[in-house]
Amino acid sequence: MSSETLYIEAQEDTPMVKHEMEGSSNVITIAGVSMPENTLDFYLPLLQQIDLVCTGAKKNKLVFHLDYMNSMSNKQVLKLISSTFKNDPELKVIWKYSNGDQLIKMKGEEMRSILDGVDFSIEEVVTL
Amino acid sequence: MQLKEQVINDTSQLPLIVYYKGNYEDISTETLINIIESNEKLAKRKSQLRKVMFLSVEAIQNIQRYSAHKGNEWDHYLLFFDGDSYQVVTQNLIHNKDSQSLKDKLDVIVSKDQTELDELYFKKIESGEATEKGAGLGLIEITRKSNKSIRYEIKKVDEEYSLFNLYFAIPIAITEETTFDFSKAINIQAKLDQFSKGTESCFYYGGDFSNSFIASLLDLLVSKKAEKNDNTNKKVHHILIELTQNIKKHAQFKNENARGRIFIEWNNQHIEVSTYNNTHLDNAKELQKKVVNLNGANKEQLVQKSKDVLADLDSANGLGLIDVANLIYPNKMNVTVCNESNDHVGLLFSIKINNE
Repeated sequence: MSSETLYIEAQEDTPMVKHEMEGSSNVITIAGVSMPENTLDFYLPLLQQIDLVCTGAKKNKLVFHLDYMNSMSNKQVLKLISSTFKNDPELKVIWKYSNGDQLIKMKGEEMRSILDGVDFSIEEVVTL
Repeated sequence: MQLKEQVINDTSQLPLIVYYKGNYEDISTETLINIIESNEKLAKRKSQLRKVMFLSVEAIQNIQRYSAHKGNEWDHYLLFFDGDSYQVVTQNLIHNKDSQSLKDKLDVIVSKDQTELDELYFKKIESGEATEKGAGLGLIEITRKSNKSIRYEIKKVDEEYSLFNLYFAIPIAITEETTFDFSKAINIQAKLDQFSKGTESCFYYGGDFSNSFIASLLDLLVSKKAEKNDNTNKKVHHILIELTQNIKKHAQFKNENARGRIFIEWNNQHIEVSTYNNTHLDNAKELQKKVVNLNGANKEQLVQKSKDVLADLDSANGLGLIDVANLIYPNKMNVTVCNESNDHVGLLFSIKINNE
């Protein structure tokens, strides 16, 4: 198992990425805004870093809680889940959306229906 | 020609224009200033832009402090850059009982020369006369820093209210001229007034469509206290991201001034978002075809289209338009091709989101 850790601070158009350990599994949280003009600049290195920290570990978790996601980020997020799942078939994806956010909820449902076999749960987060 | 096209045509030569009409108690000054700041990279005269931002804070806070806040119909802020100068116009409703004292205060300020203004400014600060409402410090500051271009008008509306209009300019080249010609500002203001009439509030912008602008625009919308319904607002925010990024990605400019335009109109029943940009005729035809196709799809078909395009990971095909169609359903997207010249056209894209 890798001892790599990962933390990326949120920018005005890219999300925060945080890595934590839960037993021997990795929990990677991606939260905030994802609307970079060039999505590959952000998601390609992120994919490589996630690959690196998850190497050898099983039952990893990817937790998403995005406030905004542009359509190009959507494809990159799908690629990221798909690639992590290839290395870890026991991967768990938790897709959170803020209450009332129909688009982010719909995006979660779409990805769940595309990603056959992935343990993919969708959770509403109620904010007061 | 619809009013929107007239506004676009009348302001087409302006590299930057920002207009917001509405209740200024409901928005944060900072978010509006950040929208101006997002144009800093493109500004040829950065120091003048910063001065405009600084004085705009004073002008907007004047609306917030002194407006009678009678509905949203009257109060607005307008800034534009025409290549020679930045010009600012503010309008707010005041009580008739306050109009004489405001006029007296302004007449004193306007009559002073630069040295006297500086003296008055420091005297006010030192005497601690600056109260919570500022004791007119903002107006003195605007006059001091705008080469004394300040001009005002107070017009009686009815037995209770008057309209207060304030104009000032930051020219690129400082001249000895003491009177500034605001006829262009007055014309643009009149056109925007006509356009925004009947809306609860209205935003019009032309300038840089960078992600800094989009982030600032979203902050402005989030700060709008009147936006209580999360569901409708979230939809508007998602749609704005797609549409503004589309302008950035697809707009082709005939000249650097024609960067793109966006309108947001808040009404009782719905919120309307419209964007405008120049593009090649072929691109416009392509977009029209896509829009006709999506407008003809029912909800299930739209959901399926979205899934199909998303699942095709190797395709560069954008999901943006499908997302917009999904979010506004059952409303339809509207595309108008206008201002044709050679193989370039203007593309006006509009959608309505119903209030839920």
